[in-house]
Amino acid sequence: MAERQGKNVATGSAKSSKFLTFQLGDEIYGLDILKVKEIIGIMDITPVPQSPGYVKGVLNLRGKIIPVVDLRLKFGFDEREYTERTCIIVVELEMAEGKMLVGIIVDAVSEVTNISETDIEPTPEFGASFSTDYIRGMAKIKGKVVILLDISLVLSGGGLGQFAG
Amino acid sequence: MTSAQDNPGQAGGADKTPAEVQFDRISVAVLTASRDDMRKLGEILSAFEQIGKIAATEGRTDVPDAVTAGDAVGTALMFDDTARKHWDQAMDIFGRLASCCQEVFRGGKMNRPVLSRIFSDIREQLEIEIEGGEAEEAAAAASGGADKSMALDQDKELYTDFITESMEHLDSIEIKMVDLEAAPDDSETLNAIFRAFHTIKGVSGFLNLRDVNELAHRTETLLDMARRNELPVTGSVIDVIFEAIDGMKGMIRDVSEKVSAGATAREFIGTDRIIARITAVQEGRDDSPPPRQATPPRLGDVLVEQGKITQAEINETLSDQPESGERETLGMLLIEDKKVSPKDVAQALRIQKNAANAIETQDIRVNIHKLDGLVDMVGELVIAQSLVCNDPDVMSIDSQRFYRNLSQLGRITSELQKISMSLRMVPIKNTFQKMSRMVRDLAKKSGKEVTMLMEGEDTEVDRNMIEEIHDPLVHMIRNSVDHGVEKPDIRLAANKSALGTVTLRAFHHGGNVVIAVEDDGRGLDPVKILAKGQERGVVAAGASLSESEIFALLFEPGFSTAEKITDISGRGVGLDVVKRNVEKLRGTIETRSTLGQGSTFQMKFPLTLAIIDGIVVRVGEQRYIMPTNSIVEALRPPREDYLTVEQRAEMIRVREELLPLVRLHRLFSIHNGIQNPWEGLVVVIESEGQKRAVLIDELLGKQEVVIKTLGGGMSNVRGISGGAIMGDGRVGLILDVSGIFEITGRQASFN
Repeated sequence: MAERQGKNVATGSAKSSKFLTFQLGDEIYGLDILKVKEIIGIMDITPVPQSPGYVKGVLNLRGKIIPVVDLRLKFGFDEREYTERTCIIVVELEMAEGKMLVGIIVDAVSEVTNISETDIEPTPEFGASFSTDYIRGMAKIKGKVVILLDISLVLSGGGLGQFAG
Repeated sequence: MTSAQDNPGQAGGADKTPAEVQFDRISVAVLTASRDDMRKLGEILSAFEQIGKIAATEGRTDVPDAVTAGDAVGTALMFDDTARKHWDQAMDIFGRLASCCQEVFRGGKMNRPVLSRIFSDIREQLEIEIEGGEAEEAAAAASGGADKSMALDQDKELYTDFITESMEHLDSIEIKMVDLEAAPDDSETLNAIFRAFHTIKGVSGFLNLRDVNELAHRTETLLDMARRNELPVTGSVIDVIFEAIDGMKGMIRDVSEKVSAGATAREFIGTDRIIARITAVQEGRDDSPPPRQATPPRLGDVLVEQGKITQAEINETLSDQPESGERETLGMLLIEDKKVSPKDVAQALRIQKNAANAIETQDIRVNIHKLDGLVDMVGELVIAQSLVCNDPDVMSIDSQRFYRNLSQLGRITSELQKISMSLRMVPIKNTFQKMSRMVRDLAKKSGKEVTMLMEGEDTEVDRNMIEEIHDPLVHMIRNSVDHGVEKPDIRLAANKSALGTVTLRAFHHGGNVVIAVEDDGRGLDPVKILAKGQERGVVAAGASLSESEIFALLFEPGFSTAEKITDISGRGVGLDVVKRNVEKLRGTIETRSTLGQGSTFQMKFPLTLAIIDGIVVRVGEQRYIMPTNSIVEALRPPREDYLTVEQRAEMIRVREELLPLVRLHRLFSIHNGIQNPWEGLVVVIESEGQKRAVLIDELLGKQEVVIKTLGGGMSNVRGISGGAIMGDGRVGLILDVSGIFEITGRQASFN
C-alpha cells in the first residue's frame, strides 16, 4: 500500500498505479484510485453559511453527512451550471482527527487508467505566484496531459481547515 | 505421577531433607496402595501431617492449604464409604497435592492455578467439601474450567477479563460501601460486599496476582468478622475498606498497564501499609469515633413519627417480644396486637427500605458500539420510513388496506425508536453515589463536616450524557464543599448545625434533565462578586447588573472567588470550564443564592445528545432546525412594533419588551428571504436570560431529528451546531442558539 501512494515518483521504479481521471473545463486531472470511495451523480446539497465559496455545503450520503467541495471554484475556475455529466467523487482523506469523507464536484469523470511511475514527470516550476504543492506530477496518456493531484493536499492546504472560514 | 523420583539429584537417600522423606512416603504409598488399603492411607495421612509441621517450622505459608486438602481427602476416604468409591482419583489427587507442595519446598512458589484445579477436582470427582476450598473453587470456576496446563502468563484475555470484572466489582463495592456507611448493620449489604471481595480474591489467586489476592483476602477476613458480628462496622472499618479498594484499584490498573505492555503482571506496590491498618482495625486498635447510628430509621420510629402509634405502645409490644426478634417481627407483633394496621406497617417498611431498594433485574452486557450502531440504524429506519410514507407515488395509491399497513409500520418504527433510545438510558444513581464518596473525601480533607443527600437518583439519562455530565458535576460539588460549606466553628457561630449539607437533585423537566447542586453554606455575595468582576475587568466599572447577571459572572473566564488555592479546587480551572462543558452539551447553568443560607447551582441538560426536538423553519429556500427548548414564542409583529435606532440597530417590540432583531437571511447570506418583519415571522429565542427576535419566512413544523456532525472541518461553523437528515433525505442544519447570540453580540437587551 505504502509504495502505491506515489512517494517513489523519483525512484524510477516501473511500478504503476491506478488513477481516476476527470475533467475540469479543458483540463484532465487524475487522482489516486485508492482514495476514491465512490462516484455519485449530482444531488441536493444543503449550503452551509459562513463557509468559503468553494464549499458547496453538505449532503446526505446514506445517512452520513459529508461536506462537498466544488473543485472548479477551489481552483478559481468560473462557476458552471451542473449538468447530467457533473459528478461528485467521494474521497476518503486521512486527517489529524481520523478518516473523513469529502465529496468533490467535477465536470465529468473520464476513466480509470494505469499510469506507470516512469510516465510521471515532475511538475514544472511556474514561479512563486503559483503553488504546485498539491500536484504530484504530470502524466501523458494517449497524447493528453493528465495533472495528477494529491487530493489530501488540495483539500487541506488552505482548504478544509478553513471550511469554517 | 510426579514425586521425588522425578528428581534424581535428590534421590540419594541419607542426604534427603525431612520434607523430601515425607514426599517419598506419599509417592510410594500412592503407587503401591491397592483399593481400600487403610494402612497405606494412614501412611499418606501421617506424611501430610508431617509436611504441615515442617512447613510451619520453616515458615512456608503457601503449603497449609494443600496439606489441609490432603488431610480432608484422606479423612473422607477413611470414614466415608461413598468417597472410597473414588479411590483411584483420590490417589491421583494425593500425588498432585504432594508435588504442589514439593515445588514449594524446592524453593518455588505454590502453583495456585494447579492447586485450584485440584480443589475443584476434589469437589467434582470425590464429592468432598473442603473448608476454604470455596475460594479456590471460585478461582477455578472463573477460569471457565481452563486446562491446568494452560500457559497463564500468556493468556492475556484472562487478565483482561479479570481487570474489567474486578474493576466493576470494586465500583459496585464502593457504591455499596456508601450504603453500608448509612446502615452499618445491614447484613444484606455487608454480604454483597463480602461476596464481591471474595470473587476478586478467588480470581486474583487463580491468576497468581498475589498482592491483590492478599489484600482481598485480608479485607474479606475483616468483613467476615463484621458479618459474624465480631467487629462493629465503625467509621474506621469503612475507611480502611475504602483504602483497600483504592489500593486494589491501583494494583489492578498496574496489572492492566502491564498486560497491555505485554508483560506478565506480578510485581506490585506494597500492600503492607494497608494490611497493617486492616490488622489494626481488626484488633480494635483504631481510635476512630464509635459506630454511628444506623441511618435507616427503625420501624418503630417511623411509625411514631407518622403518629400511628406511641413510643410507649411499642415498648410494651417489644417487652413481650422473644429475645431473638428481627426488625420485621416488630411489625408483625404490632399487627398481631392490633396496634397498627398492616397497611401502615407496609408503608413504614417502604419508607424504611427506601434507601436500600436494590431491585435485582436481569441484565446482559452489550458492546457499546453495537448499541450505538443499533440506535443509529433505527434512526435511519425512521427516516427511511418517513421517506417512503411521504413519497408522492405512494401517496397516490388508493387502498385502505395499504394505508392501514403503512400506519402500522409507522407505529412500529416509532415504538422501535423509543425503545432503542431507552436502551441507552441509565439511572443517574451511580454517578450520584460516586459523588457521595467524593464529598466524603473532600470534607475530610478540608476539615469540614459535610453530608450529602440525594434526590431523584433514579432519574434516567442517556448513557453518553452521563459521562459528559460527570466532570462538570464533580466541579460543582467540589466548589460547593470547598467554597460553599463553612468550617464547623464558623457554622456554629452562624447559628447553623456544624454538619453542612450538600444536596444533589435530579429530575426531568420537559425534555430536559435538571441536576441541581445545593449547599447550605455561606452563599454568594453579589456585592463582592460585582466588585471583583470590576476589579478583574470582567464587567465595566459602574455597570449595574441584575443579581442573576452578577452570579453569571462567576462563570466568566478569569474569575474565581476562592481567596486561596487549595488542593481541592481553585487550581486555576474555574467555573468557566464548567460553563463551557455544560454549553457543549446544549445545557445551561442557573445560579440562585441567599447570602448566609446557601447556594443552588442548577444545570439543565437535554435528555440525550443524539436527538433534538426542533422546529423546522424556512428562510428563503433553506430550511433550518431550531431547538425547541430555546424557543419562547413565534409571532408576526405588526408594522408599528418594528423599531430602529439610528436606522441601524433593529428591534421588535414584543408586548412590553424590546428585543434586538436578528435577520437570519442576512446572517446566513440567503438572498431570497423575506425582508420585512411584518411580512414574515419572528421567533423569540432565549439563552442565558437574554432574548432575541429572529426573522424567518415561515414555520414548517415540529420534528425530532437525529443530530449528526457536519463532518471534518465544518464542525465549527458559528451559528450551526450540526445537521440532520430530513424527511425528504436532504440535510437540514440545526441552529446553534448560543452561537447566534455570540455572532450578534451579547449586549444587554433594551428592556
